[in-house]
Amino acid sequence: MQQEADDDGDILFSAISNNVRALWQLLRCINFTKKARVYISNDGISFSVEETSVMDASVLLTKELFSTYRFNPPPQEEPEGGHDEANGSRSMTDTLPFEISLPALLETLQLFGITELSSTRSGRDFGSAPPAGPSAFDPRAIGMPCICRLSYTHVGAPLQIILTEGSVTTTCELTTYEPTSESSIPFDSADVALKVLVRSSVLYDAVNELAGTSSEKLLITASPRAPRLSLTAPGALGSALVEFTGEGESAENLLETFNLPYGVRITNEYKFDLIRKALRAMAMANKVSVRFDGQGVLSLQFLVEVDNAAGGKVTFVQFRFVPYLRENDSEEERPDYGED
Amino acid sequence: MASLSFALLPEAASQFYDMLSCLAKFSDTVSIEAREDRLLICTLNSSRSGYAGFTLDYPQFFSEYSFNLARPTTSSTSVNKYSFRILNKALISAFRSRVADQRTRNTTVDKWVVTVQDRLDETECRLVIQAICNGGITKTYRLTFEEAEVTFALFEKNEAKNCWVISSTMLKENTDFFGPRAEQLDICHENGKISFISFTEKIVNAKKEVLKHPLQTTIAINAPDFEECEVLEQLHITISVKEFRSVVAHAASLNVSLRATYSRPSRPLQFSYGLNGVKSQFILMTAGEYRGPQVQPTAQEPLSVLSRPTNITVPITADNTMGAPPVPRMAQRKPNESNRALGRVSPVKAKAVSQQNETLFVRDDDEAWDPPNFDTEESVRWDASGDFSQLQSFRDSGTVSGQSAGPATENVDTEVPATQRVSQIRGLWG
Repeated sequence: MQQEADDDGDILFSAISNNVRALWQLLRCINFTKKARVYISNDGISFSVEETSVMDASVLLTKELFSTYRFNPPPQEEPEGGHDEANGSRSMTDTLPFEISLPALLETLQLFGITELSSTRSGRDFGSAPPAGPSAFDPRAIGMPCICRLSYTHVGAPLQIILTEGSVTTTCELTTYEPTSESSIPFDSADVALKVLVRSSVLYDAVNELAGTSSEKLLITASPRAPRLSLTAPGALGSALVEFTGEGESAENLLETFNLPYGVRITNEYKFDLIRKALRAMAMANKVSVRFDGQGVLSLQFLVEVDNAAGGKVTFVQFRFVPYLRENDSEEERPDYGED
Repeated sequence: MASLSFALLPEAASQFYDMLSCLAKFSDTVSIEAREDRLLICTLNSSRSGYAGFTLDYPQFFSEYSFNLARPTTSSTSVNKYSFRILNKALISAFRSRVADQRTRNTTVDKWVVTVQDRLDETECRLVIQAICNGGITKTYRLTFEEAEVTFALFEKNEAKNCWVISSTMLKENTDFFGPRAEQLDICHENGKISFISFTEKIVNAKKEVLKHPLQTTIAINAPDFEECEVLEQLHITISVKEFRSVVAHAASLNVSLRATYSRPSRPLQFSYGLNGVKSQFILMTAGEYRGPQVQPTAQEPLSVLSRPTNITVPITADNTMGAPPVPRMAQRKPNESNRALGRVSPVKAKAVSQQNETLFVRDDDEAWDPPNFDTEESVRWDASGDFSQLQSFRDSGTVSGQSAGPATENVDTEVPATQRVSQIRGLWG
């Protein structure tokens, strides 16, 4: 890093990764809108998307994913970081927000990854663990790692992506846009009404099962008694329900953490179509933390283990969903939690 | 008010899923009828031309089964049964997970428990399907259903004299060759073979109506390859390819022998097979025709070459020498069709014979002058003679008197008035 500092000392951000596939897989988890907002910080580069203000998702590509990661925060931009306090989860004091076309970025990253595409395209084959070993034609197996260099020279400049595989170098410049709205779904981490930690594949299986009912809503119920956690999809033809019933030891295996501070049964309704968008992340992740806050906002934090040649690294993909308004008395229900 | 509950182990559930997906090819809904010791799942298609049903016996198929009919109002009905109808799509999704579970291997389903919730103290009537997985996960489906009588299809076994039995896997391997758009399947027995002919009547382009049969695939299976084969020669029976395919595919998944029984066209055909407490029955309506000799179908003997005595009254001159009078040549469009019953006659002779017989037939039979029979269109071939003035005399019922045929010689052909085909025929026969 020291040597390279001379080369591009005045560049705002530059990072080099030799695991383009991991970047591509992670970003693909949130690929459901045209534009993604990008924050660059000292911890990593974060991409976030939102849909109609009821769902947002973000991926943090931590700097451990890159072999070289350099960020020179512009001093005058620092006050801009104020909005991140609403984000809550991370303290990124020095960020550099801009927007970028996410589909274009994904297209770019897979330029050299087409042989791998076929094996990963069908969502189900993801499995829970990292995908099965590389094929014989995997560029890594051949010994021609694809190297990707991301750089952002100054505010308003295009995001430059240089992909090098063997002797072929491709340079792409993606236009960056001014960030539009700054709203993100607030999750009150001081008022967590439920926290469950499960294996992601279990949740994937459950949601996938219920997706077959073509239901509009997904109800998530947490209860202090036997079916501790259940997912329900009411449909026109009947309802489907997946219960995590395990008692004692099997419960420990199934639900690694189950924390219900208010000690009462909680049910929240979410739009199934939105939850379904998290399926790709569910399939890829290792574990997931399911949380409700006091207002019923659902937060799904996926812990993804990235199979890097240099060893396993962990990164997070996060989704947040706004619940349906409770129909009868949304105002009166809150005090009830407190009483019980 | 009734109580029904049964449990399925993974293997049975997998079979149950296969049955449902087979029934889904027929209709959107499934009718379920429960009796004391067995369960029937069946469906009738919307045009009421196809029926599919599976009877599942208690000890063999189900690991648990209990059925109680507590109906105070109906007293002493002859059979205790409870039947209802449910959307197949909903039911099948409850059993779909068995496919997924094999892959994810986290949550394998140990057993499925199905109960009918139909009690007076319940507000909702639901079919409750619980998939109990290891690891403490339970998947529950509560499906709405409709209490309805089951419609059965009738099949008279006594009437159905034609029957063949074949290994379903072998049949599937062979019938996989049918074109994807084929609609109809013609099954006929000729020359010691059972032919499965798939064809379509769909007009490819309305403006080019000429091309009505874009693809016809014939698969002939030798009679010895069948486990049983007792079918009338020349009996053409036509069913839908789609339904045939789904029957064969399901039978092949069980690797059982498929039995087909039928009587005659426009009467139902039945496919049946059974394995491990599952009896499968498909009844399909048929079309088709009998192209053999005009005998009352009920009086026909299977596997015999029939002949009409009227046709052999006229001495056949094929065995004479050069002096034979030239025979007015009839539409010689189907030499193969007409001699196909003549298993023992060599092709050369057979051709001559058939030629003679068609001639005789036209003279003897008034029906021959009827307008052409368009129903038999699927078998029409090119008239090699090109003699269009004779076309209307063509009848498709290949009346053959094979045994009576005398030895034919090639001289017959030399006596034919010179048409443009003589040289060609000489080339063939001379």
